[in-house]
Amino acid sequence: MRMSKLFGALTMAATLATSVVPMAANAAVTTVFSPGDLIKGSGQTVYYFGWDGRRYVFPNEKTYFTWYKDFSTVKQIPDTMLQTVPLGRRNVTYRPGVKMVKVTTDPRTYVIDQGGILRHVPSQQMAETLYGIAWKNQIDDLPDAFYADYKVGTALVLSSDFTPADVMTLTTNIAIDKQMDQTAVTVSIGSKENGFVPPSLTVKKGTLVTWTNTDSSLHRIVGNGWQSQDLKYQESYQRVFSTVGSFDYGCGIYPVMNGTINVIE
Amino acid sequence: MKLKQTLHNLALIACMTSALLPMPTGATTLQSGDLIKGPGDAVYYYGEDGKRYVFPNLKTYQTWYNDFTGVKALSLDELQAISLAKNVTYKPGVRMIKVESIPKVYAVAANGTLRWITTEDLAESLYGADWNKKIDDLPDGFFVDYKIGAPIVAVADFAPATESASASTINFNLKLTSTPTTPTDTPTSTTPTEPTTPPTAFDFSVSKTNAMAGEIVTLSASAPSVGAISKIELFIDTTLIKSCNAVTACSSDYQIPPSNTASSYVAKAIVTKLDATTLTDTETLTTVANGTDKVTVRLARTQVKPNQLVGVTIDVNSEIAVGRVDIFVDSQIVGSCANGSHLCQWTGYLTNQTLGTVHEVKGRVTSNYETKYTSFPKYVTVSENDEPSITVSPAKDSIYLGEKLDVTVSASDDDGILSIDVMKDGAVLKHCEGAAPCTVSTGPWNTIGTLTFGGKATDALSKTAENTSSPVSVVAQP
Repeated sequence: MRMSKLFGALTMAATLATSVVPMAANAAVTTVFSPGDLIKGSGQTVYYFGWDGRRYVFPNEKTYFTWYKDFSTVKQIPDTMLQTVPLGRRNVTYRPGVKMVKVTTDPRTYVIDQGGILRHVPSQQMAETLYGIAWKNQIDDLPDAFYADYKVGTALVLSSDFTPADVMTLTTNIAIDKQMDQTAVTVSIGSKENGFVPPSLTVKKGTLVTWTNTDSSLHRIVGNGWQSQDLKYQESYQRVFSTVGSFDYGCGIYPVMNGTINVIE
Repeated sequence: MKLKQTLHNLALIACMTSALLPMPTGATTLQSGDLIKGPGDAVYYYGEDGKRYVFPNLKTYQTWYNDFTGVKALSLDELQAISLAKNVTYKPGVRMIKVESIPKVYAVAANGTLRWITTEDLAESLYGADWNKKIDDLPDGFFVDYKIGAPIVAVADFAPATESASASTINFNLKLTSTPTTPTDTPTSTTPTEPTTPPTAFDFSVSKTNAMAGEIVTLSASAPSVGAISKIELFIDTTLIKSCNAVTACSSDYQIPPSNTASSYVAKAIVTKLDATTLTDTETLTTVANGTDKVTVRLARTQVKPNQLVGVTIDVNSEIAVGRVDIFVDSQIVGSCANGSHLCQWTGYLTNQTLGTVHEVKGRVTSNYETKYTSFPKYVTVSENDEPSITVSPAKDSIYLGEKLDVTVSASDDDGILSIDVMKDGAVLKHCEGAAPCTVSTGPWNTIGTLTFGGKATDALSKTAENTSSPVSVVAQP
C-alpha cells in the first residue's frame, strides 16, 4: 500500500523531469545552431545549449515557460549530435522575478533571485506588495527533488529588497542567469560518424574556443598552421581566434570529420 | 483473484501501520540514518547533519532498501522543521544507469559518481549475462545529482560487489560521515590473551627482491604475539640496521649503496624470544642493471586525485639504440612503445585509487642488443582533491552608513572552477557558474558595525571550499 502510494508521488516528479514537450509540429532538422539556442532531437525533450558546449535540462514545463512563451524557436538537430553534446552540470532554474515558489513540505514561500537563489518572503503583506492582490496565483509548487537545483539566499526584510520587474529586466536569458562566460565557446568532439558538434560556429573576434573530446577514440584538431596534440576522452584543446575570417579545421586522425569557425567583428 | 488478495494484504498493512504508528503528539526522537515521512507519501533520509535528503524516485530508494519498514511518520510541522537538502543518489554497484539522451551505460561508484562502461563485454563481465536487465533509465533532470568519473575500460577497474559493500550507509555515501558504518556497540571485554606457547615462526618480507643501486628497499618483520618476544633485529648482510624491543612488528628502509654496489645483499631478521632463543629468516636482494643516467621518468603530477589521469613520460638517452620502452606502475607494465622512439608516454588511471597510497613509476628500456636499462623510480601519491583557493574582496574596507558595497569573490583550482557563490552569514547573495570572478552589489548597510562576507567555490571534481573576507566597518557619515 505504502509502496504503491509512494511510487505514485515520486513518479510524478520523474515524469515532470522529462516533460518539456513542444506542441508544435517539428521543423526541419538542422545542423546549424549556436550557444543560446533551444535544441532537441527526435525525442520530445528540449534543452538550452550553453556557451560551455553543454545542454541544460528544464526540469519541468513550468520552468520552461518562465523563460519562453512557446516552442517556436526550438531547433531540431540530428540525434547523433544531441547525444554528443554533454548534459549541463546544473539544471535550468526559474527565471528570476517571474513567479514565487513553495516546496510542498516546507511552509516558506520564496521569490527567486538571479542564479537560482531562493529568498524567503516573510509575510503575506510583502507577497502582496511584490506580486499584487492575486499573489496566491503567482506561487508554483516546486517538487522536493528539484529543490537541490536551488540555493537559499538571504530572506527579504523590506519589500524594496526585491523588485520582480527589475530582476526580470536584468535577467533576459539563461546565460545571464547562470553567469555563463560568453567570450568563450566549446565544441564537442564526437565519434567519426558524429563529427564536431556544432560543426559550424560563428563567434566574435577574441573568442576562446575549446574543443573537448567526448569520444572514446583519439582525435586531433588540425587547422591551417595550428594543431592540437592527440586528445583522449575528456581532454581539451583551446585556441583564441583574434582575426576575422572563416577558419576550416578537421581531425588529423579521421579526415572525414570537418568543422568551421567563422570569426566576426 | 490475485488482485483481490493483494488488496486484502495491502489493507492489512495499512491497518497495521496506523496501529503501530500513531500520529505523533510530541517530538519524535530521530536518529541519524532514520527514514522519515510526513502526512504525504514521500520518504526522506534523515542525515547526520540533521537535514532530510530526498529520494528522487522509487528506483533510487530500492537500491538502498527492500521495503518501507521502519519509516517513522512525522506530523507536517515536525517534517517542515527539518530542512530539505539535496537528493540521494543510487547505491554504488547495485544497478547501472542510462540517461535517455546519452548513448552510454554507466556504473554507479561511490558518492554518486557515474563511470561509463565502455563496452558490452565489460557490462556482461561486471553484471552477468542478464546485465541488460540491470539498467535503469535516469530522467535527464536528475543527471545533475551525479558527477562523472573515469571510464571503465577493463574488468579490474570496477567491482560492483565491493563498491556496494563499501557504501554501507547513505550518510557515508553522501559524505555526511567519515565512518563507513553507523556506530554499533563495541565489545568491551577484548583483553589480549597471553600466548600459551612462544611463537615458532614469523613473517619477514622485503618490498622488492630486485633493486637498483640507490633504490630504497623496505624490510618488514612481524611475529604473532608480543608476550613472548624480547626484540626483533633487522640486518643487511652482517650490519644491524634496526632493532625493535618488545613489539610485534619491526620495519626499516634500506638504501642500496649508490656506488660500490655489490651484486647481491642478504636481508635478515632475527627474533629473540623471552627465553633468549632466536628465530631467523633471510631474503636475498639482487641488484639489477642501472639505467638511471640513461632513462628518466617525468610525471605530469606527483599527486593525483581519485579518477584523475596520471601522465608519465619516459626519456631515453640518445646514445641507446632503443628496441622498446616499457612503463611500469607498481611493477606492472601499463604501457609500452615498440617504435624505437626515445620518448614514450602513457596516460591512464591508477588501479588502486585508495587515498594515501603511493605508487612507484619506472621506465625500462630494452636496447636492440637486448640490454635492459631501468630508470630511477618516481612516486605518485593518491591524495584528496585540493580545495579551491578563494579570495573574498569587498571593494572598500570601510563604508559610510547607508552606503552600498560591491563584493567580489574569485577562486582558482587545478581542476577548474565550476561555480562561485558570494555569501553573507550562510546565505547566498549571488551565484555564478564558471570560473570568472563573481561580483555583487550589497547594501545599503544601515547599521554601524562590521560586516564580514563569505565566498564559496566548487571545483570541477565537485570539491567545495569556503573563505571569508576581512571585516568591513560601517561608520557614521562625517
